[in-house]
Amino acid sequence: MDEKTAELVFWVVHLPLMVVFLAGMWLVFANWLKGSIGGRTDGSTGQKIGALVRIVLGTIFGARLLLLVKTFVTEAWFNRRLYRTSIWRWLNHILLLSGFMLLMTLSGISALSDKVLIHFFHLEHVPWIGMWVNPDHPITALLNEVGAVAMTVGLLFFVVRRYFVRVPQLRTGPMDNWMVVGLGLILLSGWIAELARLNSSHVGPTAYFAFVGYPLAPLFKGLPINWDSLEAWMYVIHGLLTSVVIVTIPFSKFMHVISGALVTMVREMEEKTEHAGGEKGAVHVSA
Amino acid sequence: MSRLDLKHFTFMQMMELDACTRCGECVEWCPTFTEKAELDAITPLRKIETVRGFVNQQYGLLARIFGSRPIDKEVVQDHSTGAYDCTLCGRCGVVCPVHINTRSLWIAMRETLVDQGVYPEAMDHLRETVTTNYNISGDPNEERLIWSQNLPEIPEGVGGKERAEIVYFVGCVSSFYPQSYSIPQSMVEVFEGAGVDYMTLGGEEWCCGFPLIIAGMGDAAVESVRHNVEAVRRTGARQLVAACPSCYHTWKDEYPHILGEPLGFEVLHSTELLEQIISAGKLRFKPLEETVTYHDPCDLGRTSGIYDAPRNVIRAIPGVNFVEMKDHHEYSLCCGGGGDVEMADKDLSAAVAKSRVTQAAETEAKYLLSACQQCTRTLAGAARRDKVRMRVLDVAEFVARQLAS
Repeated sequence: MDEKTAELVFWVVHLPLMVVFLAGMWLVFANWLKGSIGGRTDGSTGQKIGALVRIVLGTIFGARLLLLVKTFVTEAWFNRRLYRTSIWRWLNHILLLSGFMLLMTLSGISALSDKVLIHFFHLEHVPWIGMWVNPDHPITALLNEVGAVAMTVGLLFFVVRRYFVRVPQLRTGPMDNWMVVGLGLILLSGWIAELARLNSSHVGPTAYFAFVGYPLAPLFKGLPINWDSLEAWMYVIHGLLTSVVIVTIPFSKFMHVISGALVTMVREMEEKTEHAGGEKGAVHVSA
Repeated sequence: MSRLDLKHFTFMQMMELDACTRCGECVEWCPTFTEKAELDAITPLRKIETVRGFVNQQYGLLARIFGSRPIDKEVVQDHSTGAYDCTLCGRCGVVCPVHINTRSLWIAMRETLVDQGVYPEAMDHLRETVTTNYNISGDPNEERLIWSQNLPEIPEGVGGKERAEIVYFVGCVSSFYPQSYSIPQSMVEVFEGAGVDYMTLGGEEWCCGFPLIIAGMGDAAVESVRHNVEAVRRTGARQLVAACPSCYHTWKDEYPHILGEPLGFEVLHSTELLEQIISAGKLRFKPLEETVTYHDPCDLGRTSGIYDAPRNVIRAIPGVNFVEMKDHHEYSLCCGGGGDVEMADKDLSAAVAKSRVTQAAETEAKYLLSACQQCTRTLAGAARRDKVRMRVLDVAEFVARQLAS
């Protein structure tokens, strides 16, 4: 099976899955819209979306944009509150989230470079574009490795705390199990794909920048495996497993990655701009 | 079981249901779960999980395809017990890594439970009492100034004025529970000592509506809200002062929200006014060489963000050795008297209060102060039951005791 076929299989499965993902996200959003916005419990979906868009645009194009960015960095990403509460849990959070964000960003840049800038505009000769589609490029290899290591260590923290240490405050259910299985499958397939790439016939001279995969790859090189073929398939499998996990985001605990970040930013900004330490009216009255 | 109506939740709260990371940090800090570990439904994590389950059952993907499924009565009943055994202290919200505004979320959950008719019977009694007698005790509301009968001389501000700069909103607990009478008496003594132009509303003061709002029966509070605002507006007052943090929060944050307009006057907590009066040099104090600690009332601290004013007032008394308890400011432990829990589960309320008094005793303070009539009452009860040798007072009482003649 060649690389082209593998890629075709990926897109044939990936695109319908993304349609399901978007439908799921709309369903979640539609449920959120059943809540009141700006004190109004009535109003059509369109009116509520309009009110929401005004609030969002007002923030993005208003004086609070800088605060929004700062809040994302300090609260949603760095999560100072968690840092103050528990250093181990904070490490768990920062490793998983930073690794995830780094790998997603690299995947996005790589796809943009490959499918748009190079495919349509033939910009492969531009170094800072071409480097993103070359996994052996020192920067690309290093960043991918850092992201994968961070996520792997973060997931291990998560597993140890929830399944081995069994911290009493935790309530482990199917959604927590799925999160571990989903992330575990993505990471495992990613590491196998990386080993296959590093053992393939076309590995580049700067591949050693993949500082974990590179020393590990020779340990498996003796196995009776066609590494070139496995590499193509492992990237498809890795990509499709990622797609499957993405599809479950709206219906699982994975949703907290999106809603948690949004809630953190909004609530922090409310505290900073409207009512220090307090809240504005909790009651919902119809009179 | 009726279909779950999501109108009681805001857009943000719907998002918050999906934002919970199930990290369990809230569980560790929940004062009621600490005392009642057999009831997992109390935990913030479980409450969110349960309601999210209801939403999925009735509005989720499968519900959209195959129709919504009815909610299991036992699950709702269990959820209701957990929701009404919560003191609404909001400590879970302070430690939540994704900043979920838990207190408001719990109130919204109670509102949906009232819609579904699954809530403690005591809340029906509460609604009946407040909407017919306009106070929480059920006493005739004209007797609101009964606490003033013990004063050596009833000042003009207590029922003798129709207009003043400041309206002192006494609150139901101080008006009708004898063990709290000394709080308004002290407030009046301080007002008189500082030459404040104040007045009380007497029988025109109705319950602020807070107990109904937190019971999930906010609609029943609207009449009181309108009445109270009109009563204060008639006086032409510039400020309204409440010694009860729950009244204060309700006036400051809920009233404008319910009315949809500004009140037209400033709302202050008694400790804020005391701080202003002391800063202006209008009071002189006798020294007190004692160790004093302070309990942050949930509705004053976490809910309203006021931590410094009461501490500044206490430190203004010469000679006082002020010490903090193990948990203070936004991490302060609840006194057990909030969230209408005393009505739903008296033993649980007492157990939480005992924990707080234990923390206070560890400081070896002679005085445990608070700035809330309900906290003071609950903590004093726990100290008395446990024979802890410590005076439990409101900050206003403490200030009045130390006034130089």
